[in-house]
Amino acid sequence: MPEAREKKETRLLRILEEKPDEQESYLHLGKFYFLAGRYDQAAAVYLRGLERFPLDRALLVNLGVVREAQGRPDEARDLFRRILEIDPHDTAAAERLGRLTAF
Amino acid sequence: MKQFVVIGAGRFGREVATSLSAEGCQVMLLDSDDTLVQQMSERVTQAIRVDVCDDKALESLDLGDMDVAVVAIGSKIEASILATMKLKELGIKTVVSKAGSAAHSKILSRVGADKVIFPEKDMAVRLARSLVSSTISDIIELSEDYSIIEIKAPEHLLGKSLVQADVRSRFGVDIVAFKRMVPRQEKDGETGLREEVIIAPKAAEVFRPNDTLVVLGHMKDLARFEKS
Repeated sequence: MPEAREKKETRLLRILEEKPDEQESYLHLGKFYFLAGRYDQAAAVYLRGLERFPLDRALLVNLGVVREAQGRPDEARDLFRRILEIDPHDTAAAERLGRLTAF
Repeated sequence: MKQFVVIGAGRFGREVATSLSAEGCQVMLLDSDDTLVQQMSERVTQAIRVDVCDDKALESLDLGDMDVAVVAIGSKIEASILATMKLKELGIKTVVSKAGSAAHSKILSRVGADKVIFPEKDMAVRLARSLVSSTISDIIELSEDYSIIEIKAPEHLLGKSLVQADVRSRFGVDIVAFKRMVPRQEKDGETGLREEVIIAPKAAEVFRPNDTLVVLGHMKDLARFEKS
């Protein structure tokens, strides 16, 4: 299994290298790192993606979730608020923000 | 299956009734407001419009078999007291009543409430305590001296196992659970977090960043642990 994971990581890194203009390249690699609990690497990939696609909802949501996992709720809240500024009807982002602000 | 009757379909009563239903309990909800009763009818086993101050109406509902009654009327003191009295008379073993003030709370205890709750006050105290401390997220008082707190794992413990950290002998407190956010993929393909609760953690359990610890101990030991 660790071998399969390594292969997958290599494949996703290669895709990103070959297709840096596709938002999905960042998403797939970021998700891979996130699900493996490698939060710092996931955040770095999403941030790279956001440099190219600053208004991309999926990248913003995923980075918000990573920030939450890293114990950085203020940054997560800011990201979900940014999504709501772009689309005030984004119920998923509103729910995530609500969960983070609830006592 | 446990059976509950909730009296009063205000915000608090509705939340209690909905949560009990979600837990799979049988819930009967009573209120005099027809609109509220209608609204709740699909969320509980039975929602009935009834004047809770009417003895005969309550008697006709066969409430004696209920395991617990929750009197969720905070603002109408007279109705809350009469309902509490009547429910005890009907033989309900446990009656939990909501109070809106300290005087109301005293009266409810006198007329037979088994437990009186004061949600606004309790919540205010918990909120104030969590605001005073940047690391404690919740606190439950067990007695004057002992409490259970939820606290962010201190940095000096990160990477250590419970046995290595040896918090019981160093601080005199017990870690009864870890709360940990673990990554997951949602059904819609998005990523999310799921809270995993590790009750009675094993000695080999390792403290991770962003862990919340549920810690039991004497207040002075908990304070020492918090400042560590």
